[in-house]
Amino acid sequence: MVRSSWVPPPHHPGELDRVLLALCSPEATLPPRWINPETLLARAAELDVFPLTFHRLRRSPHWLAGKVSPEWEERFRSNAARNLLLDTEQERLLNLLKSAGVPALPLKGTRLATQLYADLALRAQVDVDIYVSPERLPAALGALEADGYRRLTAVGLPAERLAATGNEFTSECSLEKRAGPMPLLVELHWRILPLPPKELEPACEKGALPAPVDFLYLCLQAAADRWGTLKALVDLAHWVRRQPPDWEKLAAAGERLGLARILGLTLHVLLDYFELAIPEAMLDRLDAAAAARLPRTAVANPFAPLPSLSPAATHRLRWVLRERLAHRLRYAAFLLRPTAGDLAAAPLPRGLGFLYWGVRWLRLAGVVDAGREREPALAGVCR
Amino acid sequence: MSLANKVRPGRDVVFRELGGETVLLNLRTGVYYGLNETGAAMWSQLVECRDPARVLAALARDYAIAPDRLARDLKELIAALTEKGLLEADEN
Repeated sequence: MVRSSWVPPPHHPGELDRVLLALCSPEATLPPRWINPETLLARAAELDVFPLTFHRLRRSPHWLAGKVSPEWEERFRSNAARNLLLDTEQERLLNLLKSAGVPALPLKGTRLATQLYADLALRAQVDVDIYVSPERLPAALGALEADGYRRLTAVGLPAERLAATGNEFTSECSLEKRAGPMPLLVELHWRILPLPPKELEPACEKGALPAPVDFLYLCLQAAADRWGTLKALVDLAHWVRRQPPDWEKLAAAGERLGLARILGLTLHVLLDYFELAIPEAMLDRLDAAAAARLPRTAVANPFAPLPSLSPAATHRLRWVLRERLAHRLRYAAFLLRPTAGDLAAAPLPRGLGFLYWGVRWLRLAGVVDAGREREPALAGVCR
Repeated sequence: MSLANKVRPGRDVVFRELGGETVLLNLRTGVYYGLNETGAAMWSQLVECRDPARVLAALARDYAIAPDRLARDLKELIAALTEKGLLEADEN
């Protein structure tokens, strides 16, 4: 398969990472005997693919029962119990929202674990992600707060302060509940794709996004970390292998939503690491959406810490990944508005909130530290 | 611990087969427990009929294990799960 000229060159994982990748791939190639399971498990934990690695390693003849620290088994069971808790809570919250008349939909999380791995325990997760219709967001927040959840923002600031900047470009809200044995974190999303809420209503009724849209949503999630999160790539590889997408419908959905470039790049990155049957015609078709060669930094290395980009490089990348003028303009508007990161960088009294517009410019120019802010690479696209 | 007393899962306990074992979780306390195949068989029977004596009889039919050993294992499991709040006496 010829690599398209617009796609950055692949990263080459080291030996241990290649073994890990093979074990986590859909065909699950067992590690060679010389591999120390402790080392492999530690690396898997580092890269957030521990549950799947442990499960597969345990079933392999290379597994040295009794010679691996029992802490790994406890860690695996602890993750399984946590996922069971999150799954139970998700179900409870979906019923709660339904009672409050809020159309809602579970995203990623335990649903994805069951769908891709047929086992809730095989994917690490920390929170419950739920989409709610934007029109019913106040009712959703009210229902969760009445249930004991407390609103947080992505940087841990009270939501009221964020609201004081008039920032309507946000698309999610974190809530936390500390009443039980383990803190529960819920993320409410109300803009998950460049789709009008009307189009998501049937999905809320059905309890799942249509398959092509769901796949594109995962591609967006992977793109938000510049394809530098191994867990996201493993998820997508399992999807392609276990339930091969209807490529025609997927390409059409990508083109319709202005996400063909991201879809194409995601598929190229997957082929860098996994043996997958992705039709070349599909890649050729999506390559047409590529405007120019992407910088090397567009795709991060999932086996190395994400290198931080300069603000200029970050914004250039975000700009290039957008296919449509409307999405780019929206992103520009998003860029110029104060964000939660600006509030964190320079706490001001409420009456001086207008000064955040200036703080925004200073942070964009790199005068005030912008590194603490984590904005998805595609912030603005899905809004 | 006697096998004459009926038991039932704790009120806040959820359980599911996960990662090759049955995981029990008390939502209120956060205490969790993993059961192997035999433990899972004991648990599912206890959940179903709540009567340890009947569970013992059913297990003796299904497993080629000496009845004494089976009774001891079942008693130990019931004691451990009760202590962790995953199982409780069924007053009804």
